[in-house]
Formats: sequence, C-alpha cells, structure tokens
Amino acid sequence: MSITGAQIVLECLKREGVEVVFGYPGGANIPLYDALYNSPIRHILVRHEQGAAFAAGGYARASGQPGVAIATSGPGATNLVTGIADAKLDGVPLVCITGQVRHAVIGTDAFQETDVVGLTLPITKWNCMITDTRDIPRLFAQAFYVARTGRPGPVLIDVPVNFIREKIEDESAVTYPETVSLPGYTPEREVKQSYAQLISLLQAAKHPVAIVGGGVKWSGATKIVRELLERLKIPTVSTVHGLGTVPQERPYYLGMVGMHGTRQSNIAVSHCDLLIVLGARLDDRVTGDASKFARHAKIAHFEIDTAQLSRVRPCDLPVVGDLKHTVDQFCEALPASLPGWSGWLEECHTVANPVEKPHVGTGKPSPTKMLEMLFDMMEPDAIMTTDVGQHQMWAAQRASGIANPRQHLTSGGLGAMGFALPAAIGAQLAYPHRQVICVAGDGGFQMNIQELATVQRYSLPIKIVIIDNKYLGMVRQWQQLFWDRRYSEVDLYDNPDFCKIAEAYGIPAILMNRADGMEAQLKEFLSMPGSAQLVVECPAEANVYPMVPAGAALTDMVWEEKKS
Amino acid sequence: MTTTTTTTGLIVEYHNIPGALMRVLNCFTRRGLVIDAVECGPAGDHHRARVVVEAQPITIDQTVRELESTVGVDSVAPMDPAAAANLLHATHS
Repeated sequence: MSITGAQIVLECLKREGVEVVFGYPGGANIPLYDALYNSPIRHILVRHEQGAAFAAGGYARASGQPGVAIATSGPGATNLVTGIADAKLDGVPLVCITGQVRHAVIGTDAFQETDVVGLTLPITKWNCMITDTRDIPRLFAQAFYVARTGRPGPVLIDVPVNFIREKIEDESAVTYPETVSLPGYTPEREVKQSYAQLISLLQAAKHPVAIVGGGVKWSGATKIVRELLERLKIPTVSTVHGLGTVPQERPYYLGMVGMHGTRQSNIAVSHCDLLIVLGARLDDRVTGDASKFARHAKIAHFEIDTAQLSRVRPCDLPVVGDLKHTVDQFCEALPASLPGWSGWLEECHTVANPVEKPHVGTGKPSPTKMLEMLFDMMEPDAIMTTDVGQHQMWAAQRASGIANPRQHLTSGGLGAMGFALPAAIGAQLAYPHRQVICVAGDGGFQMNIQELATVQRYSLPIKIVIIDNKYLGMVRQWQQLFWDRRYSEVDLYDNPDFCKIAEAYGIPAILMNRADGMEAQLKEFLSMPGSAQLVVECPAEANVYPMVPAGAALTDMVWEEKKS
Repeated sequence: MTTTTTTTGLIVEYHNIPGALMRVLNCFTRRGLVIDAVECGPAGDHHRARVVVEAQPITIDQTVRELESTVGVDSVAPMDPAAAANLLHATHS
C-alpha cells in the first residue's frame, strides 16, 4: 500500500491523539486538505488564520492538550504569527502546520513564499522545515514532544507542498517513533532538590507570602499546591493566569496581584520577607517597579524553565523542576510543626481594599455590575474567555471564584486583542457540553469579528458578551490619567450595530443599554439556546481601579484618581 | 540611571539541528545587543559558538538562562576574558 506525505501527517496527528484541528486551506496545503476530506480528524474552518491560531490556543488552554492550527504558505502562515506569539508568552502548547512552496523553488521569491521558519524562530519554542517525506513522523513526534513538555509552548512545522504530495510506494517504509528525543532538549532537568534551605527560610520568615501563576495548572499541580497552601496558611496572591488555583473562600487568599490587583495583595507582596513563587513568571504587570517589588524579601521560585528565573528581580532560591513533583517533595519535607502566621495574615486583611465607585448615574449598565452578575449566573464549570483591555481586567478582578484555573482563558502575556472569540471557539470544541462565555470589548471584538461565521457554521452555543463603551477603553484610561485627557485615536463612536452584525451571521442578539433590567436580560441571554450575543452599552469613561501606574511600585496604587 | 556595560564572551555548546545557531544568536539580538564577534563550528559530537558582546551583567545573566533553556543548546559557559579579547582582535584584524 502506498501513502502520501499528507496522509503521513494525518497519521502523525492521530497518533498524538489529535481529534480537532483549526485551519484554512490554500494552494500550498491542498494535498493536506485532500487527505482531510475523508479523515476522522475534525477540521474546523475558520475565516482567518489568526482565528485558527487563537482557536487552537483556546482549545489547548481549556483542555491542557496541544492545539493544532493549519495554514497555507505566505499570507496564511504570516497570519498565524500573533497567535503563535501569544502561545509563546503564555506557555501554551500549540502545533502549527504551514504549507510551503515546492522545495525546488524555495528562495526564489515564488508566489506565496515566505520564510515562516525564520519569521517564527523567535516566537516558537522550536520549528523546522520538512526536507524529506520520510522525516515527517520523526519531526511531528518531536514537535508534539517539545510543545507539551517542559514549559509548554508553540512549535511550527513548515511543509513544502511537494513533500505532502509525494507518494511513498511502500507504506511500511514509513516508521513512527516509539520514543522521542531531541538533541539539546532536556525538559525533565529536575535537579535533586534539598528543601532544607527553603524550610529554614520559611521557619525564619515573619511575613511570608505565596504567589501562584499559570505554571501550576500546566504542571497539573493545582491539587498539590492547594494542599501546600492549606498547610502553610500564609497570605497567598494570584497572577491573572493563576486565578482559580486557590479557592476564593480560603481565608489566606488575598486576590489578584499586580497592576489591577487588590490592594491587600499588592501591599502584602510589598511588605513580605519571603516570597514563594509557584509557577509564575513575575513579569512587569505583576511586579510594577521591579526595584521595589518585594524588596525586603528572599524569593524562592518554583519553576520548570530556568529562563523564567531572575528575569526582573534576583531569585534567592530557585527550585527547578515540574511543580507537581517539586511541590510534592517540598510538602513531604515540611516539618509537622510550622510557625503560625495568623498575625501576619490578620495584618494583611486589615489593609482596606478600596470600594469601587459603581459606574452609575448615566442610566447605562455598569460593566462591573454586569460582570458580577454574569459570574454569579454562569454555570459552575463554565469557561470564560476574555479579550484584552478594560473588560479583561474587570473580569479578572471578579474571576477568583472560578473552581478551576482552566475556566478563565485570556491573553495575559501578549495581550492580544481579538483573542476572546476564537479562543471561545476552541474551548467550546474541547468541551462541547460545557457553557462557554466570550467577553470582549468593542475594539477587540472587531479584530476577529469574522469568526462569528465559524460559531454559526458549527452551531457552537457560545454566549458572546460585548462590552461596548465606544472607546479603546484601556488606552483611553491611560490617556485620561497620565496624558492629560488627550484622547488620541481611541474614539470608536462609529462602531457598527453589533446586534445587526450578529443577526446577519444568524446569531440572535440582545442590546442592554439601560441599568434597570440588567438581571432579567442576562437571564434571558444565558438561557437562549445555541449561540447568542449580548451587547452591553456602557458608560464611556468607566475606569479600571485600582491601578498601579506603569513603572510605579505596587504600593503606589491609584483608585478614584487618588493615590494611596 | 547609569548602565555599566562590559565586554563578555560566552561559549555555547549546541547541537547543529536546523535553526539552532539562529536561536542562539537570537537570544542576544532580541535584547538589542550588537554581537561584536562570533565564531562557530563543529566541536566533537556537537557544535560550539563563541560569542562576544558588550552588555550589562544583568542582561548577560538573563541571556545565559534563556540560552540554557533553548532547544538544541547543551551548555553555556563564560569565556576567559583574554580569549574574548583575542576573538575580538582576530575578527577586527
């Protein structure tokens, strides 16, 4: 029996457990689409390749399994770039398969030729070009291995069209590797840890704080981290990607840390003498002014990727390895009796979190009130995707009540507008029977608005909320607070009628433009069968508070245009 | 803020899989560093790149950690300052 390169690709995907792929066909990957024609692998046709990358990313973020995006050469491949960069920063396993012009014409500036391997080299964990059809199994196995091990990340395989067209006459000549290795890649570089030093630091600490990040969920360490924190009972804060790791009702949980974190969290981190970092990168949105971040503290950093250590602040005690092992080992090493930190915890709780001034008085619905209602009314295992901007932070500030960190999907590192809708598509395909809610702003929603067609085509029951303040709200907020209200190119007064647009795609829509009746409208919206869209017309100048101005210390928070 | 930069040489042992050298060099260039000298070639069962740049120590520290976690890279070690100076001199002459 003969087999084509394209059929080998699909066989590789099957062997990796792939059931769904997101893509868009073009000249250089027609053989692959021909093979997909009668394949058990489900292909989701998006309307723009960026949608494919974000949808595959959403699938991966929700399920924990690699998402797969397919594009053709040239513009198809370049359109994947933002989604790849997003996956790189957030550590999301993403496998991109790009078509490429025939190997013989590469380098001749052929039609739709782009050096996508070169383009994506800095934003992939690993990438390659197929140069021999028989190499396809090995390279695909390596790609999936790299994507899902260590700190997960995006990989890209560029496949010249002649290799996926090529027919191998003897199928048995194609072998699929049983084991995978890649020279110079050792993701399980767990160092034999001694926890004595960390335990000494902990026992000596008067003001310890723990910070949980997205690495916890990617490691599958949520349970053991919860057990650790339950034993320590030290003040604990979360990054955006760590939300849901620590149950909100735990008395030691102080909320989100960073630029739009709670005051309690930011003050606790600023005054701690030991910071135990669990799978967080500590980027600038978390630390604020790095020179003032936890400045009196020793930092113990549990992390699988050494590149994440001491990025902005020197780490005193790195604990390198997979958190589900290292945290487990640390738990075992902990003495039965630990100091009590209840006094310190009480001190943290005495810090007043500023009460948010409700965005009322205009008669329009308050976006924060609406989001609070939405979190209360959504199903317990619902998955929420958010876009980027004010609504993202308003939602994150209210997301601590979710049961599992995989229920809150957002582009935290790259901050890519246009993420929410395609990510929701990916999440819904990963979990067809769970409620999926997409929350987007009016700016970001228009960046991938075409994916409404994908929602409709596959009858995905996604509930889409557009928080429409007719501004690029976060930029406007910065211009208001830090640039003397010089609102430059942020006004979206001429937004289209989002309800009519949804209806044009065959998706029913509700307009919420009054503060009264919000609850009833939300109930109606959430109970609609199939997909539905809710457009929430909000006050134009509602701001996200509290806020740490960019580059300021975490203690230097702003709320209601006053300083702490 | 004063920024004190020093000339630093690093020896990067890597496997010559496609793109590996570019990934190594990208760890420097993505930080806006100008590579003053680079020399690379086979060294036993792997490849070796010797790279000289001028940078702040904290930037070198970050670069080293990123190199260590780069797919294809086996090890990273500092170059003897005299060897770094020689490499610079050799490439300038």
